Amino acid sequence: MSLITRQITAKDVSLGEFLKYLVLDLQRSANVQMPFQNEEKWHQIFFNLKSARKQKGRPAFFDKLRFDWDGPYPRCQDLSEYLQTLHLNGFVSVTNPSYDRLNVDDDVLKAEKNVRPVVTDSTLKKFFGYSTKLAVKLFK
Amino acid sequence: MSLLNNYPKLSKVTERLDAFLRNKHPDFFGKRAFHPYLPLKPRKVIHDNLWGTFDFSWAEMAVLDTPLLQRLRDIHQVGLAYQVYPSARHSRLEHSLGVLITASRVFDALAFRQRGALRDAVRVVYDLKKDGTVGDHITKLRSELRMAALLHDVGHSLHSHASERVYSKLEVLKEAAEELSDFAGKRKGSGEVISFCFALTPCLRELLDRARGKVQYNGETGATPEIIDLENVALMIIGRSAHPNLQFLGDIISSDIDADKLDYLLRDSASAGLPLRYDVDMYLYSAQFELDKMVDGEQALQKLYGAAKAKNLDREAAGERSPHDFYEGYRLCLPKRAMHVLEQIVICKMMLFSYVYHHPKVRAAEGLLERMLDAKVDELKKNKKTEWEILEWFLDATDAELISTSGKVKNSSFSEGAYRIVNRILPREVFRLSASDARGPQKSLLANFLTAIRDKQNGKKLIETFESIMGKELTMGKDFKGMGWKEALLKAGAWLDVSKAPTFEETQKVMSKTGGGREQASGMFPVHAWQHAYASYRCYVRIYAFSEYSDTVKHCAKVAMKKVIGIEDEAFYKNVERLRF
Repeated sequence: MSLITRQITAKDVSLGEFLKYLVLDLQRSANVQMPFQNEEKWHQIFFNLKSARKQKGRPAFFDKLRFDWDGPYPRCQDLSEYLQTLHLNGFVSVTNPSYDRLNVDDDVLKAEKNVRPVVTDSTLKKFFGYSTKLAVKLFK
Repeated sequence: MSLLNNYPKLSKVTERLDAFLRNKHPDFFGKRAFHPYLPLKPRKVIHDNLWGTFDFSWAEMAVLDTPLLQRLRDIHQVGLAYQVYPSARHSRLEHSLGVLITASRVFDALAFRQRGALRDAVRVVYDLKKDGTVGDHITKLRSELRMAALLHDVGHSLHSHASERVYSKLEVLKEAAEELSDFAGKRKGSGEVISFCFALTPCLRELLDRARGKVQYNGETGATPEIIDLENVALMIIGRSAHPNLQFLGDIISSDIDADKLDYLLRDSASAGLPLRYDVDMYLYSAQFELDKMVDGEQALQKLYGAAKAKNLDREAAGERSPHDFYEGYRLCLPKRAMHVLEQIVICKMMLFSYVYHHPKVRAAEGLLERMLDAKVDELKKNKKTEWEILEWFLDATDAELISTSGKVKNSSFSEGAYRIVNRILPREVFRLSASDARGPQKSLLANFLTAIRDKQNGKKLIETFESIMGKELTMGKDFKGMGWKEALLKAGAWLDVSKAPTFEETQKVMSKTGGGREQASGMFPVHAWQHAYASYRCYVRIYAFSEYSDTVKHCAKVAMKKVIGIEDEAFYKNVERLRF
């Protein structure tokens, strides 16, 4: 068993772990197409999550998540880089040749228990539910 | 420094840099400074091997002739790449001059083609009713743009980015970088903090004032040429400007299609001997400034323009056109007809990463230097040096530090490392990993590892866990007995090297089509496919070791990989092991 996948709480979950958990949830529990080439909706979701300060279980990293105000929509460089990282390192695959959608890689999905962070914090679990709902709404 | 009134960390860095320059170079920046000593010609010519012959103004020459810029002569633009490409010895000074030339050419091209729009934009910014002084303002903006280009890399230290990665860990700079990011409304790094704050130092202002009094026009000294506003210069260095109408000036200095990139792509490849090109003439022929939205949901831009005392601002409230408040500003962009230029830029950048910046020997040399500098910082801290003093050490250091230390007695990890680098006795790869190395259940474990070590928040901790396991294994061997794990790793030249794939944010841009409408550049050519191929076949996670310890490190690294990644299959390790023959 690897040392990487760990128990996460709202206090210590990182953006990377949050994103991995979210794409696994979106793939598993909701019939939704996750965009890849045009990242605007991803940034919109994360900006909305950052703004949802009163939502219980909102992870602490959102307080420090920085958005660039340099274009037609708020853009988080860290989010963009990590989405690319998931693609470039085989965690997600994208539809060819259009590159417009991403899916969790088949091999990763089959061995999901190896890679899914373990949520022990019930408020964080609820926040994931809230995030998934928001993503489904925006991606549709 | 009214610009920094509400930014204490940036103000502090500026004050410290000012004091540093005054103490270090009193003849140029101190109380009794007398340089520039002789009268100055209004313009001087410099020849550049890439761009040809260009002239430089008295102000540019006055700044260029200070030790602040002259030290860049002794800092290699591409760090230790000359260990692999012997001719890649061009300096940060050459690059800074090149960026000045390129920025100037881009500005001139825009001013030529969009003269009317530029005059209208300037009239709004400076609240000018008549046309009379518009031309003077445009000339002044051009001078400020050129000065920003000249100063944009002034904070670099020995071997460029290798040392930047080390001094960026200093708390004073990390905090200032956060503040600068708040100020700019976009993420900024420590290198930009230094260049931005240098531009705002009062001693630089004084130098320019002194120089202005020395300029000779037609044999007469003391005529008053244009005054450069260093606050505008500082804003352009961080990719901003004092008004949304002038945002394209910030874009010329720091954006995805900036003059910095236009210069380094050609200069780095030409110096390395790689025949990579893009169509610079088409770039200059097509580049334009166009109105575009800049949303401002957290009021970052409102504060910025407030600090810059911008007039005639038109902030549109959130509504139908955008869910956030926004400004419309002139942005530098390339139209769709110049798509092939963008494509060439992306290919050039990818090739440079592949052949130069991510070359295994270049990574080995720079990784070793980083570890030596980390150890140097620890040593300075042990000797009760403050972070400011450590930063000053970096601001003083050039590449000569390595060469001068390499000849001395090998009594520290720095001098031993310097000896190895200078004589090219570098670590070699013992393992290298990429996403394409695993299939089936192993793939999920490897993908999880490769993504987790690149997680900004937890990645460093995971790398440290990995290295500590490897180092503790090492200390069990006879060559490393009694050492701590970090010391053992340093002796063995062993570390986990995590390179970052290049990003191509320029392809997130939309390009305007002739006749109207816009399209995202990444939809026009297969950049994601190229990136994926690059990550699979070029962008590796590597484990290094000195040749004499490679077998020992191989064993220890395998123990660490099994524990951290969780893959047990020996066939996988055979596949990712690097063999000499």
